[in-house]
Amino acid sequence: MSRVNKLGSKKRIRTILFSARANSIFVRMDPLLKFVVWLVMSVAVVRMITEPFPDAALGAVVLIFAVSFLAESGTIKFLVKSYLALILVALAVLFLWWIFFNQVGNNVILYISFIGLSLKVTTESAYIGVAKVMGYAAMALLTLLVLMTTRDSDAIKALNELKMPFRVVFFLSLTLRSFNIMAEDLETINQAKFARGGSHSMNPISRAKDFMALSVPLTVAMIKRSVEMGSALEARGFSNAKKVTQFGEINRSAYDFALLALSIIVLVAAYTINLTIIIGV
Amino acid sequence: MAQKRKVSGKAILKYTLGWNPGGKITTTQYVLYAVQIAVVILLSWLGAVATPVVGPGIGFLYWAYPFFVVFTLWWGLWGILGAFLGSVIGAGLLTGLPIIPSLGFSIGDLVPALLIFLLYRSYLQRAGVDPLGKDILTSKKAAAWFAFWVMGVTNIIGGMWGVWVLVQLGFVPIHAYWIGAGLWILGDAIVLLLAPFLSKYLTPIVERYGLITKGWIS
Repeated sequence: MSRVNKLGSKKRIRTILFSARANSIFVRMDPLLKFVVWLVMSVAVVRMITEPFPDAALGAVVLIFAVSFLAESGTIKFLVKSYLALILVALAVLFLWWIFFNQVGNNVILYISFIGLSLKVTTESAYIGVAKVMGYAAMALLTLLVLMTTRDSDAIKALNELKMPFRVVFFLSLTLRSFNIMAEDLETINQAKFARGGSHSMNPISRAKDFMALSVPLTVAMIKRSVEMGSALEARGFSNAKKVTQFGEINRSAYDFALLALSIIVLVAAYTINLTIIIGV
Repeated sequence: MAQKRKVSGKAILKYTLGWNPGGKITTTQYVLYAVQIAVVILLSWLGAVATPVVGPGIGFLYWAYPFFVVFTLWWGLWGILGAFLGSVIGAGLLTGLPIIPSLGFSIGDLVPALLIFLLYRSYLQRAGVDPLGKDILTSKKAAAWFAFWVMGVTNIIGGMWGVWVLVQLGFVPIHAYWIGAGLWILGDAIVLLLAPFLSKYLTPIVERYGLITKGWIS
């Protein structure tokens, strides 16, 4: 399958997590505006779910927004393969905690009593649990959408737009880029362990021993990489670099501002109305 | 034993709370501090996906914790920054946890790391405990202080803060606060049992390269 389209540009690009369609709206979005939209929507959702009567409908709107863009960017398959189980477990635990520890309301739909402990599930507590799940799912998918449609270089570009000092931006870019490098080193160490008869156990004590066994080669790899990269940077005059001019294009399209406007509308709605009550659910 | 020299009868400590006693940060150190943050992010992520989820935003065994404790003892402010970013990015964003709770509860890792560094480089060092934690397995005094301050006090502060943030953000019901905090604290106390071993076996390697910070940043 060809990795380039008819014009010769890539169909998919590598992002912080996995890859995404190069021409998708969120990938092409200005990174700084993308982070602002993400933050604004997150604040809106936190507001929604901390209300005494949480707004599940508005949470569902944000959730649909996130899922739509995940599908449009071609990243939903990674979500399903890698994160779905983790997110579903987290959502189930969240729902159960709110059912057990927030037994409010009088309209009982389920009552269980066992060895002196009782569980009363009402329509109110079930609704609150569902609203919390909607809100959490919306925020989680929004977070994954941003991570799956943003490249390392986009994150650095956003920091440069904020006029942060060169050394700070470079430090953070080193950290981001080192993440994948160290992940590869860790994988190499694991492969070496298996080649020497190591096994992958689920036993907590074995897992603890595994972590300990990884720590020495990982630390040595970390120091070795740092010494190599440090030497390479020195050879390029890094320590003498004082003021470095950062070059980058700022491309903001109408889509970017439309998404920003939408996020602000959602934020205002979260503070002023309750969509669930308005639509009469 | 704390690293000390005696000059004219007065002990001079090798590892202090001076801001920048080493002078300029070398390029290798600068890169190392960035890479160690990446390692903490990686370990936080791996630990978070491998740990049982016992509550909303609460994983039971946070395997990165002993690593960032040891990195903090070695590298001061950079280790503390690693503790915070590791939690925000590794245990938070990369596991699908939303941005606002990630930022909020990660302060529950930053504060313990900060307190641990302050304690080991000041009060505990003067009490005869090694500031890098190398003697926890060999000295009863060091082990007792480690259990009390690191597994106890700072861990409790971190757990109580983290779950309080989750309550404020609407993730954990208020009535479940103490259960959530208890699980958080217990899980972290268990994984902290690894920290003395990490310190004992890894610190000599890092010392040999001359990469331990003598103050907060260098």
